Order: sequence, then structure tokens, then C-alpha cells
Amino acid sequence: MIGLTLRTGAGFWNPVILSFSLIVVICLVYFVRSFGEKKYKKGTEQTDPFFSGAPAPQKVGGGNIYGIFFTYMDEYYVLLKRMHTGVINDYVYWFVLTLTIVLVVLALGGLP
Amino acid sequence: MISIQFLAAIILISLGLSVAVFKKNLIKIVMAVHVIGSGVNLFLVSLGYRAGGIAPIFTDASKLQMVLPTTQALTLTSIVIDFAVVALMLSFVISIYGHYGTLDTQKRRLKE
Amino acid sequence: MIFLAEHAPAFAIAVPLLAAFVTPVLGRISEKIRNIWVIFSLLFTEFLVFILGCKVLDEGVYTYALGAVTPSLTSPVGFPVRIILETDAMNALISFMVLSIAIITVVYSWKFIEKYEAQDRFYSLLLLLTAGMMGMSFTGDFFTMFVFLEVVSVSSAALVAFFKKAESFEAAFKYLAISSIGSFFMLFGIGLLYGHYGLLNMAVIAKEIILHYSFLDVVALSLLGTALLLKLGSVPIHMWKVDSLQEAPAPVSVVCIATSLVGLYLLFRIGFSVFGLVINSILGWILVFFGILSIFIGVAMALLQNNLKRLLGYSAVAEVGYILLGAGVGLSAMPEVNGFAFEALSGGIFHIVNDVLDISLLFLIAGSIYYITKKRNIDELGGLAHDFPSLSVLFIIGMLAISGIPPFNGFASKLMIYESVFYFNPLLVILGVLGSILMLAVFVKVFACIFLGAPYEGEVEEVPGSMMFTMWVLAFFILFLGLFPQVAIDIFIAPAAEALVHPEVYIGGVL
Repeated sequence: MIGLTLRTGAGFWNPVILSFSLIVVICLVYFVRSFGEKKYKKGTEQTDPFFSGAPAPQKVGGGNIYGIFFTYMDEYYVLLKRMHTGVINDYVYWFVLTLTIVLVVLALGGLP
Repeated sequence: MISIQFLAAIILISLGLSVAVFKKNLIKIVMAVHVIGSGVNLFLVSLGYRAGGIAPIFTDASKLQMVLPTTQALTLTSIVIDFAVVALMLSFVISIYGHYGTLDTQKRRLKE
Repeated sequence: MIFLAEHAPAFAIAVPLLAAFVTPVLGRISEKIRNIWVIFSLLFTEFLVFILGCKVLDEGVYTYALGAVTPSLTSPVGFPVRIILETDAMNALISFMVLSIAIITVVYSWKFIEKYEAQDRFYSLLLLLTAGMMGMSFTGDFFTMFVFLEVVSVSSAALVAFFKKAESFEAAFKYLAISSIGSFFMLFGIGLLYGHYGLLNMAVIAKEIILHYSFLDVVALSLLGTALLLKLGSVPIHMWKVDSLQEAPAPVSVVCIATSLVGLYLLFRIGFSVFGLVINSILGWILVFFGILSIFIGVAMALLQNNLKRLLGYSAVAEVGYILLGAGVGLSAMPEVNGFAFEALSGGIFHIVNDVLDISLLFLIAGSIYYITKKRNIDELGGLAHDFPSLSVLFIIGMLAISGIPPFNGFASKLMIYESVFYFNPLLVILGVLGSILMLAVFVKVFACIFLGAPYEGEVEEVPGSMMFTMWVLAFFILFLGLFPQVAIDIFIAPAAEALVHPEVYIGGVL
């Protein structure tokens, strides 16, 4: 199995063994699951999603997901939105700024 | 002492950059790109200048007097590329004007 | 066969270039003949690059001279007039990857652009773009690099505007404006190098630079480096890339990803081979800085998007950050790269291959979703897994691979980068892993919005077989590289990294 093991410098990684053990674990889980009670009936209200007793929404839009994350990261995202204006003048501005940064850093630290 | 042609090239390039950053008209941005290209071409062609040199078309001149024609070839190629880029950009500007009805860079739909 | 192998670098540029101009003529006769011609010329080029790659892996650097065959054949002033095409394991790998992506793109485009006019021009621009990328990867000459860079810029800007909508013209204009400004600054840097050394050949400049390293070279390096950072779309000059990836047709977005791959190669070539022996660790730190910035801002902006292709564009920006991180750590250890720095560099190069496979698969899936529903916003989609189970399986493969979940290929290369960068600076690894987790969050959101939920109620078309076939081919390679990463490392990644960290071999190939 030497040829199948990835040597990463600090350790190793063998995906074949991992996938094999993953398959074994899945089989085991499936086996244990088959002992469960067979109360599940298709087409009854058992299969409806539960949404705290209220009628569940049929569709959750992309904007609704991670809403709380955006609320708490608001300041960061205000900065990012100010950066991504989409105006071509600002693209050139960022290019000139990057060029200046690279030039200054290299001139300070890149000379022999 | 800095030669006047290099100074002119630097002035052209910085002029083009400042127009590209500060002017909000698409045609002016195309002009800025062309001016930057011309500045770089002026810089390239003045690199090949040798005082008292002879153009390499007169093959009976002595070898050391002849000018190496590399920069002239480079500048010619670069002018052609500049022309192609500007032509394509102007055709994009025509289509943008047809769809948006304005040449203002601030009126953009792709942002964030 | 030996003749082909000998002239392969020149043919690899010439065949797509000539085929590009024949394509519109054949398109007048019959669409079928044109399609066969395009795919055949690309397959022939890939075959050439393959035999060239085998030759290079066997025998080392291969130098092909256009013009004076030996340096002693000179012009009247004692200067050899020649253009060098120099091939080593690194650019053989890059050009092979680029051609494979081009072939997959062409097969995908057969059905994808069937209903649009101007197909002849689409295919000939695609071939022109391929020729430009081949030229960029094979050239050993700074000015030829600039010329092919502009060929790539012009033809891909024209391809971005293929749909002829308002937004696509806007994206194409922005792309062309900013990338030509970048190219002219690169030409300025090349002019500085020419003024200093009177030469344009990369290898010879690399040799001269050891003796005459000065402030002028630093200015030239920063001009070239920033222009290439612009071309490969690193934060903070990535906005044009996201715009054009969003508005281009899906196959063109995939080829645009391949162009940023070639930009990365050129950055490595200039950083390692030309300036590697003189510059100290500061250049590596600059790459690491922009890499971390790309990972963070790319992922954070991707989380915000609702347009599927714009979201994928931002995650492509973030993935480039990992490559810059790995390669920057390798570069900061120049000129003696061994141990962890070498592992980091090979992880970076391996991640180039993995990144282009994963992102291409996701873009092609996005294109198929647009093809079947004509919608691009993920809020308007939902429940596609009921009707298209195979598409959702492909999407799961792509999303797990790109966010670095074992046992897919993204994990193998990210593990190499993390474990070796840890010995360089543990903080960078923490930032990298955090970016990777956020990437998974991005794609979980996309998967939930597009594939899960009540069955989709709009009108849908079937996904054509040829499009499904290309996506399964990409998925197969993703699985293969994920399960057997060491095979890839041994065969082509380690030689490529070796080629980069030994600039003296590259210099010796020309002299």
C-alpha cells in the first residue's frame, strides 16, 4: 500500500483505507437501523416538516440562510460592499494601490 | 540626468492612469488605455536609440555602428496589439451605449 | 513520431492557431464537419503535448529554438536572433491541463450553444484562446509572453460578450480595460529588464541577474508580479474576474479559469526561475499575504451571493488563494527549497490541478442548470434533485471536493498545504482551515436552495448526453485523484515542483 499513501511531510494520508472504513461504517449503520421500529408511513403527516407547530414554509430562499451570521458580521460586510463597487475606475484604483504596495514592500525588503 | 524621452513616457503613463481612475466616461477610459499604451511604446522605442547609430537596413555600415532592431520590432507589435484592444473596447462601448443609454461608468449593473 | 516529438512545442502553438482560421470556412460547409475539425485539432495538439511531456519527464528540459538554432549563429551585431520555447515538467503539466479543459469545453459547447448564432466565431475564438494559452505556457521569452497574453485577453473578452446581453458587454468591457492596463504595465516592466540587460530571454536574464541585481530589477519584478496577480484574479484586483465569470457562457467561464491557471504558471516561472536565485523571502511573503486575503474576502463575498455563477466566481478567487499560500511558502525558502517548503510547493501545484477540475465541474453544472431552467438566481430554483438525481450527485462530488472533504481530491492537496505550512507559521493554517469551512457553508446553502425542497414547478428541458458525459469525465478524475493522490504526486507533481526549485536547470537548458 506504499504507493497509495500520500506522504505530506508531517504525516500520511491514505484515502483508500478511509473510503473502505467509511463503507464498512455505513453498512454497520444500515444494519443497526434495520432493527428500528417500522412505524414510518409514507403520505401521512409524519412526513411533513415540523416548524415549531406553525405551517412550514415551502421554500427557503438563499438570502434567508445564514441571516444571523450577516447580522453579526455587519461591519465587515459594509466594508466589503464598499470595496466591491463594480465601477471600472475603482478597479484601476485597486490595481494602482496593489502595485504601490508591492513596489514599496519589495523596495524595502527585496534588495540585496 | 534623466533623458527627456523617458520623462515623457512616464508623464504619458501617469496621465493615462489618472484619467482611468478619475474620469467617469467610458470613452475617456478607452482613451486612457490608449495613452498608457502609447507611453509604454515611447519608452520601448527610446530604449533602442543610440546616438550616431545607423539603421540596420544599410548593410554596408560597420557592424558596431548598427542599431539592434529588437525594440523597433517590439514597438511595432505592441502598437498593433494596442490598436486591436482599443478597437474591441470601442465596439463594446457602442453596445453598452445601445443597452444602457449612457456612457457613465457609475451606471453599472454588476456590483458586489 | 520522433519528428513530431521534436517539433511539438512549435506545433502545439501553430495547430490551434491555424485551425482557428480554418474553422469559419468549414462552418460554412457543415456544422458537423466543423465540430469534428475543432475537436480533432485539439485532440491532435493534446497528443503532441502528451508525447512532449513524456519526453520531458524522461530527459529533462527541452529547448526548441525558432530562428538561430545555436546561439553562435548571430546577427551582424553579434546577437543571436531567436525565440526560445523552453519546456520542462511544469509547463508540460500546465499545457496538458489547459488542453484537457479546452477539449471538455468544446464537447460541452456542442449542445450548449446550439441555439445561438455565431457558433463559427465562438469555436474559432476558443481555438485562438487555446493557442494563446499554449504560447504563454511554452514561451521562454518575455516579449512573446506579452504577445500571447494579449491574444488571450482579446479573444476571451470577445467570448465573454457571447450572449450579447447588456451585462455581458459591461463585463467584457471591464475585463478588457483592466487587463490591457495590466498588460501595458507588464510591457513596461519587460522594457525595464530589456533596458538593463539588452535581452528578452528569461533564462539568460536569470543568469545575468545574479551578477547585476539592482533597484531596476525590483521595479521590473513588482510591475510584472502585480500584472500577473491581476491576470490570475487575486484579491484586491479580482473584481473583473468575478464579473466576467458571471456573465460569460458556462464553457467560457471554464476556459477563463484555465487562463488564470496559466497566469499562475507565469508568476511561478518569474518568481522561481528568473528571480529565484536573487530575491529573498519577501516575495514569498507577498504571495502568502495576497493568498490569505484572497481566501478570506473570496469566501466572505461568496457567502453573500445569490447568483449561482457569481458565487462560483468568488469561490474560484478563494481557491486561487490556497495555491498562492502553498507556493508562497515554497518561494520564501528559495534558493534551498527542501522539506516542508517543498511539500508546500507541491501541495500548491497539486491544488492547481484539483482546483481547475473542481471549479470546472461546478461551472458546467451551473451551465446545465441554466440550460434546463433558464434561471440563474438560486432563490428562483429548488427541488431539482427530484427530476435530475445524477446532476445532484455530480454537484455533491464537486462541492465536497472544492471544500476539502475527504476522500476527494481537494482534501489531499489542502492537507499537503496545511501540514507543511503549519511548520512555517501555524496562524496561516488556522486562517486556511477557517476559509475551507466557510467554503463548505457556501456550498451547503447552494445545494439546499437548488436541489432540495418541493419539486421544481417551472418548465424544464433534459440535459443532453454530451453535456452529462463531460461532467462525469471531470467527476471521474476528481474521484481518481482523490483516491490515489500519491500516484499523481509521483508521476507529474513532484517533477514539476523540482523543475521550479532548480532554476539552474532551466538556465542551463538555453545556454
